[in-house]
Amino acid sequence: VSPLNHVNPTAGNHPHDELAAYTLDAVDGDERRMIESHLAVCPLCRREVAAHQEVLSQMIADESPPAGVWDKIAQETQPRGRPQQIQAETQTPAETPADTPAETPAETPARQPRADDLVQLTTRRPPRHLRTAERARSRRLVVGALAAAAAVVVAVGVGPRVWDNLTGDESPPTTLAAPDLPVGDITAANGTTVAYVRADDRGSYIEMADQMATLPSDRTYQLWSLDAPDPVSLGLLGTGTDPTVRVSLPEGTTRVAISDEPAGGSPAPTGLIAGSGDLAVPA
Amino acid sequence: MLVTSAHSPDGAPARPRPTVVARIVADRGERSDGDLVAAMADGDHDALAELYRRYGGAVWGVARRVCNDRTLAEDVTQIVFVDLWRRPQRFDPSRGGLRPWLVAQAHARAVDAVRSESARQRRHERESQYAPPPSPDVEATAHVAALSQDMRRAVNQLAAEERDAIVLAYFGGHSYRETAALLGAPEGTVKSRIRRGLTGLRRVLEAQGMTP
Repeated sequence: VSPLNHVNPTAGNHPHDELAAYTLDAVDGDERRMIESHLAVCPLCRREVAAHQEVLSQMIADESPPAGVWDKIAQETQPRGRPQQIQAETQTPAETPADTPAETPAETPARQPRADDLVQLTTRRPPRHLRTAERARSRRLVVGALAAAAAVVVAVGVGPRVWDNLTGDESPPTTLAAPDLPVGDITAANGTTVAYVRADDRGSYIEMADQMATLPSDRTYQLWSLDAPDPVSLGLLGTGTDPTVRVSLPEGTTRVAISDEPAGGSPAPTGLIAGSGDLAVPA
Repeated sequence: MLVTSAHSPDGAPARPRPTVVARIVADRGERSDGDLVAAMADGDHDALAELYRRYGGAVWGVARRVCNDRTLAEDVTQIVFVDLWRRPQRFDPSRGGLRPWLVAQAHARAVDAVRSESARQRRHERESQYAPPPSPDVEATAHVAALSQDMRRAVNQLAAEERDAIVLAYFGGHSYRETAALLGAPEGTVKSRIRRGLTGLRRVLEAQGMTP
């Protein structure tokens, strides 16, 4: 007896059992085709399948995909005319030319650097999965101090062009004991926690949650303070492969966000906001 | 010590600041999945990146569970997002959320991958006289054990034969006919168990406040 005798919607019956097996991808090709032709004309059964899919999707816990997966997807989907990988320093990772001040260094700055633009980001421990070349490149991501940037800007020879800070605030993180530093969670629009702002006796740092996707090498996460009317850059966090990144938060920072920017960063957020959160000093 | 940068915000674009702030606020809470899919259909690659950030973990999660093989699961994850990019119109928001839909896409691809992979393996096993597969009991128990604590509690409220039929078919990638053979039950009975199990699970999750 064919299980699909009552698939015909005009009979007023709906193939409930078959729909359930179909949702589990547990029917064979012929059955699938018949069920799909029924679904094409039966909104009730489409709703039933969607309800089953909803239940099944809850059985699935999010897990962090391997770093290389996004790179492969990006490679296959990158629209033409946009660079896939920013290798040459003459190339620009720009989406829109107006948004790429990092690519037009040494021009007259539109505004004076502010003290709180100065940050120092230090990786806490070497990222495990960074290849040697990439690691060497990130070593050259020595940037930051705007005052210095205004004085001398040197584009590095390899990889994305970045600000190179010659004076460089390279003093080690403060060793003051347990300072009153704000901490909090950074969550995505869908409620997933993507990173944590934490502090230890060496200062503040960002810890990436497993849910934080790894960016392709021509992108970077960038941390922002949202306390002022204009977002203020607190520094670059890399592609998400570093589990922790040292940051320096200006005093009184209460709202931060992480955005996805072209490598080298942006003066104001141009990419999507990966997450945002409120910070508070623990009592 | 590695000192990375605060990049310098000089050379700021002419774009008015309030727009930037407004966009941040909008991005924080209001960029819906539907908006992102629409943007992606218009060629916005950043929208795809954001959707991957939101759901790459779920797609990878189901692919890895069903494939039980990282390389296969990577291929599945890649196919699902490339397909989303190329044929965004396949997602119909009126039929439900994007996450369940993507998980379903990934499941279908994973099952395809496993079936062709296992057909290959079976040929190989016939030749090399491999160890027999685990009993359905053991296999079902293993699938249940791999669930989150909440979900484990939920599926364990189902009748055991409903629970086993669902996890063997869903996580084991078995067709209902194979599942029936594994469980020594008639095929029609197994299909009914799957449906009753899914309906029951929905009730359990609603009672626990786990459905949106």
